[in-house]
Amino acid sequence: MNRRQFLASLGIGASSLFLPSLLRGAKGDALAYTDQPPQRLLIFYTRHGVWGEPWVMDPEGLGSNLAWSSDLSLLAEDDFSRVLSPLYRFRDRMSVVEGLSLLSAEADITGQRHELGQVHSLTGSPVQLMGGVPLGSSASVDQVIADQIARADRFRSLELAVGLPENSVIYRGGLQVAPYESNPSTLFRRIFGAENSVEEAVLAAQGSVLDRVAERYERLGLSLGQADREKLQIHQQLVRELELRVEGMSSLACNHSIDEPTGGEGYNETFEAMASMIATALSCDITRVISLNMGEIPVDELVDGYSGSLHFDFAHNAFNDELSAEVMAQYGKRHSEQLASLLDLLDSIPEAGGSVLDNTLAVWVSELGDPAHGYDRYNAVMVGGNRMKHGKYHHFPSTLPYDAWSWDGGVASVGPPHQKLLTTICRAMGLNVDSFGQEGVIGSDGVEISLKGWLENLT
Amino acid sequence: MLLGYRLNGLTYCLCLMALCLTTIIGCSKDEVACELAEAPLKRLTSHQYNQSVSDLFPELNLPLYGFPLETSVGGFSNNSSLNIATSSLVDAYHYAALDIASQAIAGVSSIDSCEEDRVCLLSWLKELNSEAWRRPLTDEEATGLEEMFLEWSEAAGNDGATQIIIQYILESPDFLYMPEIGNSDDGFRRLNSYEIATRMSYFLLNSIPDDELIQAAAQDMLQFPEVRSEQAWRLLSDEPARVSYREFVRQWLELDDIGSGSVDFEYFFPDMDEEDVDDHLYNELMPAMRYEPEVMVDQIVFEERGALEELYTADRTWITRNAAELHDHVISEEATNGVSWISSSAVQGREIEFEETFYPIDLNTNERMGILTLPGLMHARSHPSFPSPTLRGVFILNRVLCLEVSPPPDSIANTIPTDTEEPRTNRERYTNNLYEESCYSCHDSIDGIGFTFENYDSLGLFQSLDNGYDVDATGELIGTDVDGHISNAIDLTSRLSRSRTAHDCMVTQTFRYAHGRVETEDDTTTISTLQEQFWDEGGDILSLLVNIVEDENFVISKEVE
Repeated sequence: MNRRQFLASLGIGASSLFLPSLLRGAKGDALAYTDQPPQRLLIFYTRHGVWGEPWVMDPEGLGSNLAWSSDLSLLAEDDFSRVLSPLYRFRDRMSVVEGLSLLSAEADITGQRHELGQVHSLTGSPVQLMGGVPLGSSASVDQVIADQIARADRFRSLELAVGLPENSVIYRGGLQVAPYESNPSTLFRRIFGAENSVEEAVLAAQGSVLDRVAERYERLGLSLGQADREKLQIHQQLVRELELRVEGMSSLACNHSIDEPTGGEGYNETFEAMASMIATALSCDITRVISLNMGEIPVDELVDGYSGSLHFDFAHNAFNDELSAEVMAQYGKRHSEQLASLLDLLDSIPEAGGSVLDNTLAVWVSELGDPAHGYDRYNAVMVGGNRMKHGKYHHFPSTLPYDAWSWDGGVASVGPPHQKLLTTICRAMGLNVDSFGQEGVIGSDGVEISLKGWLENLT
Repeated sequence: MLLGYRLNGLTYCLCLMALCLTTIIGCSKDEVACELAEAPLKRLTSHQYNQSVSDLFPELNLPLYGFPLETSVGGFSNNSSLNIATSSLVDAYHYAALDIASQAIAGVSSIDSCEEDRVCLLSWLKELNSEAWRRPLTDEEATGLEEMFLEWSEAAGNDGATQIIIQYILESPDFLYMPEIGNSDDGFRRLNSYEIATRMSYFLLNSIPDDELIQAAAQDMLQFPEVRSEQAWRLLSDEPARVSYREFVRQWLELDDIGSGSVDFEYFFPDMDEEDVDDHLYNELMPAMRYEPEVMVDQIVFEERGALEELYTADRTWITRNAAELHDHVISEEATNGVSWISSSAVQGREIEFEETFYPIDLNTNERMGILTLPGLMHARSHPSFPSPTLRGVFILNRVLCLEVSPPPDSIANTIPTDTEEPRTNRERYTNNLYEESCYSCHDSIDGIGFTFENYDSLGLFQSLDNGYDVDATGELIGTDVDGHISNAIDLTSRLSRSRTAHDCMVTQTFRYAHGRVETEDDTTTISTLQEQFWDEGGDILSLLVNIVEDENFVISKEVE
């Protein structure tokens, strides 16, 4: 990356921009924090849940009926499950949670199971229909955390994707879908700027023009009805954020240079380009909250000699067809490998005596419990950060009385609600909350099941 | 006569309009105008943005600017109920404006000829501003512009200030949104003539109003239905409206789905080298399949002034030389009657250019007829090696008949289980479905339509045998005015071409696109009147576009609280 690109990055003021360490090509810590390094959150979001059998672990043979926690650090690599084995090297800094449920999604009747899961998984809240489109009715967990940890003068958060997932799962607020960026080059230009010939005096005026633009939004809003005015207010707030960022990015200093992605458009190439930009964006404090929405891996990139739709031809049949089960196992393992390589990148950047990963909580969750649309046995992997008690595999049995759908007919009870996981993540990021999203669901015995609380063994 | 207050001739003057407005506002519950729907604030789609800046700066060769994907509602991306701005969108607007302004300084001759003269530049900027905001500037706005110019020219010089002000103009809500302030009273809002011009222009051109439309607005003539009609006919007779209509067709028939699914190479091209297949499929066949329906609409609707019936029963199509095999045809080397087709789109930040010649060919109407049976539409609703009667049926129900079927509860029907080891035909694969009892209510109507397309394989090619067995393409239409047994897709499309249900649906879809929202109960009278007109006028598509603009409810809406 050259200076010119930085200058052009959304019109950063030229006079104040200087990247001393970058220009000198110096090596060393990402940023010399005088205080504590920032807390960061990275959501790694995949489709189709997990295919349980090659994923779950029970190293001590404790069975499925009781809740238990097992120490990951004592395990040999062979003891790790097939899907999770690529993450073995992070076992001391990793928590595995197995057996929760998307209970609130099960209780929601406003959409299809994929869509419901996509909304409930990170918002913890019911779907709201808008013109027939199922949307989140409140902010997703990453955005609530961004409210707390984001720098006002940098990117509040980045929503990214690999492939073209059918929907974004991130909500800035109720009905406010945050679209993802899936083109590495566009993302690069958005964060790091692109070559152009804009004069420096014009670049220096960018904050001032945004100020005038923001005023215009406010002014016009006064002539409109309330709903329309609110639309303009949201836009105005975003212009103000951009204005702050244009100024703030000018003080950016970073040791890590990165070139504009020039690779192909394949799934793996896109992932690699995204991963390297994520590492740079987090380590240079360009943003503190990133979500990476992993679209379906094309079947022909997953298993040699096969093609078709992962969703329709394989995911649905994972439980009753050997080939499908194998494809879905490889699908899970591939994601595990990708997550591990992303974590390696973060871990390779030194920061405050440790690495960037030590100050970044990475959370791997999905839209479903299993590939056949089940909501029970919902699993999560969390790695890194410094406020979670890592190193354990936590199993939860399905004991909450609720008649839930499953591929083979149904189950009469489900695992703890995933809202407890979302609350746990919030707490690990320093938010003092005891619930997240929806607070209760009526169980099949007529008694309300509380969705409040958190997973106490983890924080 | 739709509404009691509609004017009948240009002899009525503006003072009568005032009287008329009073009538509307003072209406009782029994009157039609009281059923007006709310019209939330619209924002330019990415397509409209690109078209608008290209028309604002005709001298510049601007790239297509990419914006975050829009959320479609009811199949159309211009829906105003879900167009809340996001951080990445605002960044993209800023980035685009910076780039356009920078190119303008280098490439707009009016700026160049001002030779950095302040008065000259300001005069040009005011014109640009007015054009972009689609209305005259208020005195306050004009003064504000001068002040901004002075402020910025101190640091950046006169050209620099010009550049920054172009950015300001393009990032302001008056350009990016379509604010409708109008004249409001007692719960109604009647648009002013400039706002009407904007609505008309973005509906028919997907861009800023042209000079003549703005002039009509300046004389407040667009309040008259007859003038709107006259202006709409004028616009529709020109190339920009033809190009703009593709945007409706693309979304109505979900053409972007063409080429997005996978194709089983081994099944279709067992003896060909994979790279050659890839090249032929994605550089020649798929683009032709993607644009063939657009060319057909363009030629039948605009060139031949054909009606919906002709679209559904066309006995010819237009295809490229390299994709003529899709119709088992060879384009003669001497053919000169081709239609030159240029299209560009920005998908996920990647600009895709397409330029080809489509040659008219006769269809064998025993095998294929009309737009709904074209290979692209058939292929888009298929699996890699076999077609999906379910997806094909749902497509016709949702997009052509507006008999919206919700997706199945995926707790029930999420696989294609079969009770035999190996189905002999595709139809058998689906008829052997082990549906639960509750599925039949929907699947009877879905599959009844979907099976009639069994003569087209998953690539969209015609087949009379499926896996060596005779194709059974019989089906049944349920829920329409032309219900009954159907012998095949030709029979289906013939029926749809004469169906009132299909004609009504075309009106509903066009209404959604024109108004940028899904219809509500308050639109019932408006839509049923338009449907009546469309049917009476023999399904003439251009008249439908004009009728929508002419309709009084195009310029009045319920006040949003």
